[in-house]
Amino acid sequence: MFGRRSQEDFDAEVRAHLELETERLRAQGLSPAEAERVARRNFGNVAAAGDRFRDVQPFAWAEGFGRDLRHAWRALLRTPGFLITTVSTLALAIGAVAGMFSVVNAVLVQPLPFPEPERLVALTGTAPGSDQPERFDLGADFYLQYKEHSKLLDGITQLDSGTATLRVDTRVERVRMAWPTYDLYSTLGVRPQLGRLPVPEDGEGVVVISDQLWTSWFGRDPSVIGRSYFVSDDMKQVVGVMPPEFRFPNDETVLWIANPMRLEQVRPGQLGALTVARMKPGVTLEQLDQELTALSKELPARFGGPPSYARLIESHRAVAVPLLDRMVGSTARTSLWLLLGAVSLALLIACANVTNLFLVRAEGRVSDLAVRRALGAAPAQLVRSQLAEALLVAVPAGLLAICLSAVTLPLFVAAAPQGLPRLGAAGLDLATVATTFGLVLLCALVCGAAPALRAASANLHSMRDGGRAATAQRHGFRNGLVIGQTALALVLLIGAALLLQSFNRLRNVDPGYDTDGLYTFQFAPEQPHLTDGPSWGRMHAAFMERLRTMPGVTAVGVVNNIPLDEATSTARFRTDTMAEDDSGTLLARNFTGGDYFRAMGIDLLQGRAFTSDEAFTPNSNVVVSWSAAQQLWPRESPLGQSLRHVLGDNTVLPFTVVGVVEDVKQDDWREAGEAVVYFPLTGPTPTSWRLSSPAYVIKSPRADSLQGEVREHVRQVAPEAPVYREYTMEFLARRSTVELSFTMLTFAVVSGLTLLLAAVGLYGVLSSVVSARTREIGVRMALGATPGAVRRQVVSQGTRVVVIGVAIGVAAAFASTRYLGALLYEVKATEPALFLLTSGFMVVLGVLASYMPARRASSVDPVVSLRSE
Amino acid sequence: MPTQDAQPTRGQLLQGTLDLLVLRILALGSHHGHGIAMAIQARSGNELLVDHGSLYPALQRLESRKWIRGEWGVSENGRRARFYSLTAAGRNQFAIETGRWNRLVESIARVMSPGPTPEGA
Repeated sequence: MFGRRSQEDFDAEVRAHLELETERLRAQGLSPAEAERVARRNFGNVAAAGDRFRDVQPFAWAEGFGRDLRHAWRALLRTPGFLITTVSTLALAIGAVAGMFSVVNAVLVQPLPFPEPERLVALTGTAPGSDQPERFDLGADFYLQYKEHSKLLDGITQLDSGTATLRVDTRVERVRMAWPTYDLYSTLGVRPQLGRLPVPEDGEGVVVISDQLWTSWFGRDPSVIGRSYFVSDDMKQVVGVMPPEFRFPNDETVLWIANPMRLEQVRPGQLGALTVARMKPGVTLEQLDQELTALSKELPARFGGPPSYARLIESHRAVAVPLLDRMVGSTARTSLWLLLGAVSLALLIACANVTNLFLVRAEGRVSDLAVRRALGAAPAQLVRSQLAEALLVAVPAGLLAICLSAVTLPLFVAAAPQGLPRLGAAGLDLATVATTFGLVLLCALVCGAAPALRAASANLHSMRDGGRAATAQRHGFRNGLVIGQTALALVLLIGAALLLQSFNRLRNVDPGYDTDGLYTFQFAPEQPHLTDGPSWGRMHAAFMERLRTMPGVTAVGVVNNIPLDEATSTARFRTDTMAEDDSGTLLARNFTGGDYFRAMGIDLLQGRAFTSDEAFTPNSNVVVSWSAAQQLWPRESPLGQSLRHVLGDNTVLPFTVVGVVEDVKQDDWREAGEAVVYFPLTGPTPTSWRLSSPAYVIKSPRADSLQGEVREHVRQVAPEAPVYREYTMEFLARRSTVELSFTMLTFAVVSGLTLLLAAVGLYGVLSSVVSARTREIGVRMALGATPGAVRRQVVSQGTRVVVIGVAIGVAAAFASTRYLGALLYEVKATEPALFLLTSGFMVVLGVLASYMPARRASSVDPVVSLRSE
Repeated sequence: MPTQDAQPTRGQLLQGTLDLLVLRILALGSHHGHGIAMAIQARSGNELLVDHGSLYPALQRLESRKWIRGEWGVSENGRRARFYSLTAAGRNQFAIETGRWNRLVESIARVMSPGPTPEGA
């Protein structure tokens, strides 16, 4: 700035003045020393003049702040211990928050990569009192009705997804595919990067591929358009390649097979496809729910269907949810928000600790501050210098935190449950870095505020009596810090304990089958002679014979849906006692062959399992699970009972129950054992076997090293068939609990860290309180107080504060742990035993943290402490 | 602090008066800070003692308003000192401030004079 004068220039001018004045006074006959003294007195307050000089300077504030920063930096360097402690405490906490923020932002906050994503919804239904799940996906009947009659929608699409065998020349693999109606692309608003989209005239013979498949299988060759390849059993023509960002409904989907969805395919009441719609601009979810609910009431009149369908529709309400929410899933959403909440609490505690360290540091400088005040420094200037110091701690902490997240974020992403969409996008993006710096400024303000206010109120009074005047007030504030820290740490600790308990219960769950020594895989033979159920069944029987020859194998079975991997389908069943027009009970169904029950370790409770003949030829025997038996024949023996399988077109197939097996956790480790009807592998209808792609189950102590041998056997019998879904049962069990265990682990780490911070903070506060009272304790001991009495007093003082914190923490936890509900398993969110245990632990921690300073206090030598003043 | 009658007025000038006095002294020729303080003291018959601590911020203020200009030079007894002189804008400002001061003095004098106010007569 032109014309600006430096402080040095001003100081030189003042010096010149003092010299001139001294000279004048000496000329009047004063002694040199006297002349200098009077010159200074006449000038008045040099420092104040300097301040006033600075205040009229342009950019004075910035310059002053720069000077404060330099001073603070030198002061901090003189106390490296303080610098390292505060910077690393804040860096850890800020890094944790920044990392979680990045994940939450990428997964939950960033909009879907489609135009106007806020108008996209997933349509579901609810029908209280029906045997449907609380929230269910809709069938083709709903889709067609909504598509033709809704006035609030701009587009609607329905899609199934699954796996298909893709065969391109000699390469064969099982890939994820989706089976959407034609309107998928227009509803989402996406265009292919190459070729075109399917149109209804194409029929079922066309397919659209992902950018990833185009790259890895076709080397980005544009001539792929128009060529035909085998997808499962059919030839499909590739008509388009989607852009890289199109990953729907999940990241793994690489094929979209056209689904013509004809009216005659509609089976009223058959539910379960993802339905996505685009609302017209300005439409609210409530309006849409109302319109669609009204439209669905017309369904039985349009499609007919059994009485149960009419009953379902009667209580049915449409529920539209934002598509983003649907894609992430509510448990994942809860986990991520919880983790962000937990690390934020940890940051609060870290801030409280650093604030406390600053307060202790400021205490040592009370007289220094008072002198500066007395010399005319404005309160604002003292505040500024304190804030400068806090900023110098927070900024390096922020930089360190960013480096830290650069390392830990990829680890976190790798450890997170698979299948969480968009998690890969989590990283050190602009939003995360900006947030980190926001946090840095906030931390500097929070940590600097208390010492800054103290600095501003420092006065001559506190200089004179060595700072004791403000002691009581200061300790009040510090006690507040401890109470807050204790409460926050306890909330986290209780949350962690609840999750830990859930995890423990979950690990000890008996799923109904063994999880160790089991290997499972699938393969898709496509041999021309497998044209009917019996020949297909014989192929499986022969193949299992081969598998049994492997060393160490004790049992081999085959099943349509292996537990914890693929969900079972459901079907309706009627008993003899039910009326003819009763639509029956909805039960899960599964198909088994070979030694399935024995291999899996599923106990046979009554009757018998299938014989190998039964398993592979059409017959009318079934095995039911214990729950199914309880549900159908609560008072009679299920053996020999007849069971009628009600098919979609209302035809009924009769079956006889030959055995009862124990319940198994089929779909989800956390849910109760399911009521299942087991059919022989070839299924209840002549075509059932066509639909299934069964999984083999091998019981062997070498379960985790069978892959190579199994692949070799498959290669020998069906060289063209890809082997896929190769798992151990242990892996499947772990995978089904990974979400909870991941959240639990992260939560536990965060709470452990927080607890440590809180304990350190508590110790820090109590020790500084004791040091400040050294003189008082000295006097008391000189007057005859015993060391024991002093110890007791200090400990009880510390404990009192902690107990208040614990009480607040318990109340806060009581109010907040219900948000954990979705993640808990067989643990109440307000489990009294856990609350008691963790509270007790906190109190003990508090007593321990007060004991050490108490011991120090009691070893004070009265004489020394009195002399130190 | 007890004040004796003989004590000269020190540093308790009316708001803005110090600025006017500085401009007045500099209208006579350039001066350094100490010289300005001495000149005010001398011209006031030792009645006004300028608070040296307030003088320099005042000089700084006037300089930042571009009414005076400061330059380092050598004092009469050979010391380095910063000499101030009026700028054209300062000369203007001095005229304005003088007029304002005279009106103030007259009006205060009328208020202070004995007898009824002219309007009330």
